[in-house]
Amino acid sequence: MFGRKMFSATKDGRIKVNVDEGVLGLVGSLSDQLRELLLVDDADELRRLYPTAYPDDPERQADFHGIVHDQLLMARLDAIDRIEATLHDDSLSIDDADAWLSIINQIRLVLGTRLDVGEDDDPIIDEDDPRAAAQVIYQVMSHVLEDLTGARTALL
Amino acid sequence: MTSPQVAEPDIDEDIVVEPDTPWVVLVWNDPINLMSYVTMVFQKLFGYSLEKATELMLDVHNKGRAVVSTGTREKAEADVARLHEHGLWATMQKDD
Repeated sequence: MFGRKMFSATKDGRIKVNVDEGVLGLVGSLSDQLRELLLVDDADELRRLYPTAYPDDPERQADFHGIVHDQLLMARLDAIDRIEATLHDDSLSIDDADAWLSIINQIRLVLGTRLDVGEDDDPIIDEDDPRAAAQVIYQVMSHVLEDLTGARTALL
Repeated sequence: MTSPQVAEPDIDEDIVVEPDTPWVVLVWNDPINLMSYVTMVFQKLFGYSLEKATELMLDVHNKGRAVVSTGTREKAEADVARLHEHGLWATMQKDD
């Protein structure tokens, strides 16, 4: 499934997309789910998306949160719109690719938080484990991100 | 030659000027973010070479954290916000 590159940089500074339709469907559906989740205030699974800037200064942290939270939310919703608009395109501009990278990474952060991914976790092998399916999806998103990162790095 | 009449500066003795201590932006290790992705974000946001960005990423990975930028509080806040936008675990503190 991942034998060939899903993304490759082109000479004219774009990124060619060669992704399985099933994987594209997954990216689209997970992006849509992320949008729903982003609009739920205080969703605990989003904690990795809004880290604390001032761990030792609650007052400044409150100010920072007040200014930055809505900016991040708007940027994320815009990026999801951009993914949806370009999901079936043959090639991506750099700005499109940056939206894809940002959202696919955020999907991984939410899935990883949900799965409580640790530093040296063994993969869950047991197919009966209710988390096995989520783990497979997490791994697919990791492959997509790794590949797109490689193509984007070539255009830096 | 003459010098203009200089008014006595009106200094408010009560104003405490914060020392010009630089702030540092730290990125912390986490088990989710991919090494290649973190390296690319450092290159993209700070204009670091692949070599420098890789070195910082390895510091984060091996030592648990790395200073990725320094500057005024305003600059540090802007850098932290951009790192958060990219999903990295960044904090800031005064460089004591």
